[in-house]
Formats: sequence, C-alpha cells, structure tokens
Amino acid sequence: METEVPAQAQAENDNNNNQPTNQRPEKTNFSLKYTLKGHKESISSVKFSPNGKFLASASADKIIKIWSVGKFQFVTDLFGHTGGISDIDWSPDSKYLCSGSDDNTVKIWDTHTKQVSITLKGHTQPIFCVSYSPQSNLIASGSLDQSVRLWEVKTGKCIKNLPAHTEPVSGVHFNRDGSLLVTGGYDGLIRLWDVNKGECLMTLNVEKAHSPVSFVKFSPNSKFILAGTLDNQIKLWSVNNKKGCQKVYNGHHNEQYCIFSSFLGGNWVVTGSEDHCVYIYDLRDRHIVQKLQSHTDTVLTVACHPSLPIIASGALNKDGTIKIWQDNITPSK
Amino acid sequence: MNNNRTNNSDYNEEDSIDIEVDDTDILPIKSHENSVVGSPGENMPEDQLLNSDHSRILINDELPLSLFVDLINKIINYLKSVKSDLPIGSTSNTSTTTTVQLNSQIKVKNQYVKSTQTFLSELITLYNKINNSSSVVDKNKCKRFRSVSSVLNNTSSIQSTSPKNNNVASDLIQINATKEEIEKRIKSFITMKAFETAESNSIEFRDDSSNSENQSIRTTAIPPMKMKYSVTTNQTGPLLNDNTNNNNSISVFSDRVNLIENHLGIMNNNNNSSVPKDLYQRVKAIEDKILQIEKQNPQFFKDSYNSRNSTPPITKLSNQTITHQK
Repeated sequence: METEVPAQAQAENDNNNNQPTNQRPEKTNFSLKYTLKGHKESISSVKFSPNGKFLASASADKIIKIWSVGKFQFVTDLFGHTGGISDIDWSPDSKYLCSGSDDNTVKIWDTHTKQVSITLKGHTQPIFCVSYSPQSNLIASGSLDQSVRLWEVKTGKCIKNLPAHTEPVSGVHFNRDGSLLVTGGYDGLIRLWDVNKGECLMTLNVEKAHSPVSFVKFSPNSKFILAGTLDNQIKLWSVNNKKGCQKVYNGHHNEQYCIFSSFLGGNWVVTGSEDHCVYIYDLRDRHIVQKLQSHTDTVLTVACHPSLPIIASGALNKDGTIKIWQDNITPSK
Repeated sequence: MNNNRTNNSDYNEEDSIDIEVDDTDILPIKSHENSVVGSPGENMPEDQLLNSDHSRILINDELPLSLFVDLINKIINYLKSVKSDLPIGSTSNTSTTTTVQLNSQIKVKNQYVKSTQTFLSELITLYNKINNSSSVVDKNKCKRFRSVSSVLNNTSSIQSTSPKNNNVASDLIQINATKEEIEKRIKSFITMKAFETAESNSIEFRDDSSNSENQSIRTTAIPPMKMKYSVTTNQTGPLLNDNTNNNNSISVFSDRVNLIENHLGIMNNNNNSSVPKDLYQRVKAIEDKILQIEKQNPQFFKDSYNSRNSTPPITKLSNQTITHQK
C-alpha cells in the first residue's frame, strides 16, 4: 500500500477535480466473485494479511476463520474466545493475529500453530477495536469501558491505560510509523495520541460533537484520518495542517452500527452500509462511484487487499456471509 | 541518670548503673512498640515500666555483681597473704641462712607462687566473664539502636497512640492518613467510578439480553442516543419589543402608567371607577395633569424644555418617577 502513498498525496493536493489525470481511472467495475460461508453468526470484522496471502474473518460466533487469497479456500479456525469477537488485526509480518472479544480479553494468535500465544487481560468490558502497531511491539485496544489500553506484545503487559473518551471507544488505529494513535468514541470525538508519552495531542470534531464516531483510520500515508459517524457520514480529516475536515462522504446509511471503512488504493473509499450494500466513493470528488448489492443484511465490515483490486465484505447474521468482490476492468497497480 | 538514682535505693543496683542506663533506655521503647502492635489500651506509667525493667536487668547482671564482690574478697585475701610473705622476701637478701630456713623459705615461696597463680587464673576467668557480659551489653546496645531506628520509622503511628506525643495535632487533623494512603484512596475511587460507568455502558449499549449470547458488541445495534443535543439561539428576547405578546406588553405598560398616575395624583380617579379605563384615556388624563402642573409651575418645564429640545419631557418624567418612588 505504501507504494500508492504518493499517488494519494498527489490526489489530495490536486484541487482541480474537473480534470482527471491519465493515471486515475474514473470508474470501478467490481463484481461479486466469491461468497464465503461458515460463520454461524454476524461477521464483525474481515482483514487481509499485510502480505496479501490470507483473509481473516471474525464473528460473533467466537471463532476466527482464515481463508486463502486466490480461490478463497477455508484454511483454519481459531478457537479460544468465550465471547463474540468484535475486531481483529494482523501483525505486520502476517504471522500473528490479535482479536478483541466480548469476554473482555484481547488474544494474540500464532496463525501457524493456531494457538493463543498471549491473552491480554485488563479491560472490564467487551473490547470494541484492536490495532497492531507497525513495529508489532504494541497492541492498542478500545473498549466499552471507555478506556484505550496499550499492550506490550512481548510480555503481554498493559503499559498504558488512556482515559481516552467519556463513552465507549469504537475505533483505534496506529499511524504509519507507530508514533501516533487515533481513537474515536461514542462521545463524538476523534483524538490523536502520542504513543510514547500517552498524551493527547489533538482532539478533532470538537465543534460539532453530535453523533458518535463509529470508525477511525489513518490514511496509508498517515496524513489524513478517515472517520465514520453515526449520522450517515464519513469524513476525511487532515492531521498536520489545521484545515480540519477536508471531505465529507454522504450516501450510505450508517446510524446504528460501527461499520468499517477502508481506503482502496489511492483513489477510492469503501464502506459498508445499513442498506445491505457496499459503497465505493471517489476520494477526491466525494461522489458514489459504485454500489455493490448482494448482501441481505447490514454490511458491517469491508476490507481491501493490500495490492490487488479485491474487496472483502461481511454482513450481519441474517446474511452471515463474507463476499469477495473483484475489479475486472481497472488494471491492477 | 539522675532520675534512676532517685528511684534506686540499693547500692548494688546502682553499682551497675552504666550498663543499666542503656537498658532502661531501650526497654520502655520496646514496650511502647508492643503496646502499639499488640495491646493498644496499655498505657503504663513510666515508673512502673522502669521498675519492671530493673528487675529484669538485675537478673541479667547478677553474675557480674557477685563476681565483683568475689574479686574484692580475693584481692583482700591475696594482699593479706602477700603481706604475711613480705617479711620473708625482705629477709631473703641475708646471706646467712640455714638449710632448714632455706627449705622453709622455699615452701613459703611455693605457697606464694601458688596463691598468685590461682589469683591470676581467677582474675583471667573473671576478665573473660566480664568480657562476655560486656558483649551481652553490646548486643543490647545494638538492639537498642535498631529499636530506636525502627521507632523513628514508625514515629507517626507511635505519636498517634502514645498519650504524650502531639495529642492536639492528631485531634485537629481529621484524616489521619499518609499522602500515599490518600493517593491510594483517590486512585481506588477513580477506578471504582470508571468501573461503574463501564457497567452502565454495558447496560446502555447491550441490554439485548436475549441475543447477547451470540453477539459481539460490534454486531449489536446502538440504541438511539438518549442524550440529545439541543442548541437554542434566541432571535428575540425580553428586552426587545415583541409584538406577538400583546397582553404582556399592555400589562407592563399599564403598570408603568399606574406608577405615573400614582405620582401625579390621578390614582384616585381610577380607583373609584368600576370599569377599567382605556389606556388612551389614562394617557389623556396624564397629559391633562401635566398641563395643569405646567400652568402652576411653568418655570420648571420651560427650563427643562430649553435644556433639551429634542427629548420629549414625558419619558424624562417617567424615569424620574421610578427612581423617586424607591
């Protein structure tokens, strides 16, 4: 993904949206390729491994499943949690997975041995979101108990307990070099943290702290923050300069669930929706590029392959499947 | 030390006072420690403490005391024997001595040597014994220092319990806790509150108990926010003229007219009439009254009119009325 960073930066700096460059495709043409069945409950999170070889899916049925990218065959199950799982994240070397669950623990899994390597205990309420640091030495977890904890992967010890929000924490994400952490909560705030000091550097969304933040994520170059709010909006915030909110993406439905969004390459923003669709927005123009219909329930989670034009999406339990979408026309970068 | 002497009448006890002082200094502190730990109600007077400690010291020092007495006796005996032998020693210089005398002299000398030997050996054993006992004293001294240092560490607890130390301060200070203890309490309070809010969150955001078994927090719908934000921006306020509230403005206006009427002396007319007059009629009455006043006192109105041509005199009057009444 890092190879695409300059493209995205260029896209952001270029304010003349009327003149598309040659490199940039105007449309996407994703179509449904696979439907993965196996989970017995709602799919809560899907994530591609950084090396692009695997897809991990977590569900409220307490099981993590791993699928191989390509023909998307089932590889293995990871058992161990005693509560439904809300979020997973791969380690940068694609060997480990961390998962946050309703059993108030974060588990680190060795995907080769399929065993839990460490269980991180400390939260007093279900874990909402987890994030592996790029150096793979830390894991951040946000919980319904309103705190964000930083865990040392080696020892499994909680090294910091940040009183991040005054409502449940719905999103955490490390930036590219692991020095910053962004958190979002139901209190409608987005906060930037210095990881080493454990201090809050910046609070976004202060003036209009109306609707809960459902999702936060750094852009691949870490210059922007993508944040979803429960008023049917996704916003792109600038981290460095104080211009504040750069773009607002409207069109999808999101008022009840903490739905994942993702950057697709340097040009698109992908999100799930409560109208059972997957939406693809143009990052610069903000309009809907494509709407993928096939799920039969709220699409809670989407993930984009790190190098190929592949989108994975998971839906709630009336549907309960993972669907793989592939772009046919757009040449893969 | 002086106190100890007045307490102790026995000479023998006082003989070993140098050892005792250290011990008496130690033992009351020890007993204080005990009272702190074990029996908080025990507040013995100092005299009792000292006496009880003395008895213990005497038992400990009985051996060296008796030895000293023995030593004195032995020295006296030895000196006596030496005295008796001395003339023999002095006569040994004489050259004219018989063998019988020599034999007797040798015998006497042997006895002398024997007695000195035994005396010396006894002295050595005594020396050893004293050394041992002094080592015991040293141990006590070590104990004492240790106990004093430990007492210094626990000064706060001793002060709070012992009746002699800073009673007033402990009464005035309502929270008798160290800084660490208070910080600990604050921390535990915060963690307790955090736990409570976390609990309430779990009730608020996942009260769907029927399905909670096979749900995770992300797959449960968030209930509509119970806390609503509402921002009120007032376009109009009580200070602005609001035409919609006619009744209010009339009532306020009539109040002010009442005040004017009251001041100008038109009040009686209003009270007498059963039907409330129209506002315009009342204003008319006021105008008439003002004209009447102007006729009686033309200079006042002339001055005020000349000073401020632009401002109407009625408003000025009304302002004056309100301030005068109060």
